[in-house]
Amino acid sequence: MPTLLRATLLLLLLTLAGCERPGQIRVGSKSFTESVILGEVIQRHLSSHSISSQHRSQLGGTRVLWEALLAGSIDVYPEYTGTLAQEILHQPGLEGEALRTRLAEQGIGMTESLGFSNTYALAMRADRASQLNLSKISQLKSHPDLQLGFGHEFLQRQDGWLRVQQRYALPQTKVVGTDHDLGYAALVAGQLDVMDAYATDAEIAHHQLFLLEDDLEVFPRYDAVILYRLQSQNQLGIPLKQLEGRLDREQMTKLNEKVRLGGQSESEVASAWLGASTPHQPGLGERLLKTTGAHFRLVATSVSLACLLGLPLGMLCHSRPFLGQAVLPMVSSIQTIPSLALLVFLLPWGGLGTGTAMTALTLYALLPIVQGTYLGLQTIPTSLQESARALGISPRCRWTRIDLPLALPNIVSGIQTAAVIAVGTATLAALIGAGGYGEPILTGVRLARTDLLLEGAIPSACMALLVQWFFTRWQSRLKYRS
Amino acid sequence: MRLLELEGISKAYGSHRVLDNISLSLHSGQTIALLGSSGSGKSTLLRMVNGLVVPDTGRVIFRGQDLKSSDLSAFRREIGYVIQDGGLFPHLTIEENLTLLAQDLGWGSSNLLERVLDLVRLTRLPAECLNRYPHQLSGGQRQRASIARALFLSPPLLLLDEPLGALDPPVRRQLQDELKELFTRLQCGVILVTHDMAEAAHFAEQIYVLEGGKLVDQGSFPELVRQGSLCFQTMLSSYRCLPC
Repeated sequence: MPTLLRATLLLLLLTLAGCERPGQIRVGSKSFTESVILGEVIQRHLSSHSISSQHRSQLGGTRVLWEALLAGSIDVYPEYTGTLAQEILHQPGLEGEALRTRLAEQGIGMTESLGFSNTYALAMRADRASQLNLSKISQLKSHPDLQLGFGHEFLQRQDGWLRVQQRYALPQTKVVGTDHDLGYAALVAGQLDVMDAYATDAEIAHHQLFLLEDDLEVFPRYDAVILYRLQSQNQLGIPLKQLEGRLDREQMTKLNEKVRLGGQSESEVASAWLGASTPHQPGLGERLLKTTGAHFRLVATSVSLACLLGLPLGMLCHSRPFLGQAVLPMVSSIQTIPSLALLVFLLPWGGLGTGTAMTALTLYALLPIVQGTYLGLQTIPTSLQESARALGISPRCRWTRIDLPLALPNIVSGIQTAAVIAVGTATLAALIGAGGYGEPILTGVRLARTDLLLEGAIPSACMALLVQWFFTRWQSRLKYRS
Repeated sequence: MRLLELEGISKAYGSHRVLDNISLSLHSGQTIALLGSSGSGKSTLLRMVNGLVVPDTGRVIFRGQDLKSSDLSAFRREIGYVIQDGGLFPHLTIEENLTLLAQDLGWGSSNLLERVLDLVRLTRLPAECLNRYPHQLSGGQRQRASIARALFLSPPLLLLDEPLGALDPPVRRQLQDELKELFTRLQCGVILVTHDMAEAAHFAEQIYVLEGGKLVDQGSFPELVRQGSLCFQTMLSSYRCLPC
């Protein structure tokens, strides 16, 4: 036990050592390319003003970023006015000063437009559109069998598919949800007839896609702006103002194209546009070292914390059966919450980053450990339990020298299951800025790049196999002794 | 003063009565045997003596003190307990098994070693067994180790639940002789649970015969042979019919 305790403390120290420096400005971005580029632009621009900052890229959707900004987990992120009015404040048509005043009431500042509007559009392959003689969204009404595919956020948003379907009275029922960036591949391959697009998407020109005219003007303006916490206005106000009106739609489309189709990184593209020197691009080895460190910290700390919580809970279930009847179903019910939902659910309390990710992973790791401990203690042969009681040893001695060591094979088996699950689940932690192997996986999905997907997936699988191997060896030694 | 007294002990599990109004007593240096067939309640009665089973009615009095008003752990440390398969902990070496309780009580290492060597001599346990795990020992060695553990704190009372039941006949006979000599030397009280009439006769001055949870007979073996109940006579005749 002292060894386990020492190992846990060491891991906690390592985790703390890996945390961000205080006083840094944290820039956030959503999980699509344009937002990540704008996040890089903001971060590099702040750095050029000697403001210490870090970019927590591809953190998820609008709700995650907005909550994180309100909670102070991030200080600044790029947003669109249409999204603010429709999705965040639920006041369609709110613009300009009125919008700024409503945001200020919540302690949030907003810059003027960066110079472009990235409105929604519905895109089709040009040949398919001309074959069906389609040029306006309203004409979709006469083609109820078309296969539509939309980004998950567009499907859910009030100003997205729901509003388009209602205002144009569209009859289509074949509607699927897909990742926005993967949608283009499906559209080009003919698996989709219509998809949602952002006006500045590089793929529109590259694949010569046709944008249907929004003849009823359903989509509002989506001027790109920067949101920031008013607490930081003195520090951020002037540098951010310098970015207003500097980026028009053509330029933004080109920047998107360089990343999406030209294979350049967001930081390279952002630096080149700002005229700054290209930052150091870490090589594969350096990137692997960083993601492995972060992933290992997430898994090891959360599983250690789950041990510290799960062992006593398992012991309690064994020694107080009436409490066990309440504890075991409660711990089991945590497992039924989808991991992504649990991460988002914990955001308002824990904010973005490793703390929330570790809490979620710890909760997920609890069940196998509690169950393993409980089962291990319950299956100690009656003759040995009676021998221990009959000896007259103290309860402490009985737990530490008899009961827990005898239950250890089952406990280790529970920890093994928890650790292997944690290695897989921890890839989702990148969605809330906790790093790890999920980072290259997310970027790989976003840019449809297999090499980046594998950069996260292969080491994650190797780590899971290593964990499995380590615990199997440990278990075989225990079995030999008992 | 009597070492142990059981007064009017009864126990039932639901509607099944496993012990019915049992009373018996034991002096220091005396060995008694609880004899009976399987399910007669003899092991339950033995486990009541060290508080592993609580009687529904009746009292267990050890050295003049009622078990109910005693500190159970302290009470158990004065009673050695050996079961059929030894009850040794499989993850501890024999030495760790022997010294577990004394270590918990804070004994120093030199005292521990001295007592271990005493017991190794007393129980004739080969010294090379001390660093082995229980599964690496023969059945006879395991029982010697188990008895050595029970004797570690020199308890005044020893409870043996079919201690030799799992051993081969030659090893069993050898251990019976050695143990009888050991008990005589130590002058502690011993309660032996057995279904083997010859074993009961070999060890015990007084034999208590249980049947269906009731005490049906008591006395020395010759007395029981002469004027024992029908139950004992039936056991005796079936024992004589055994092929061995």
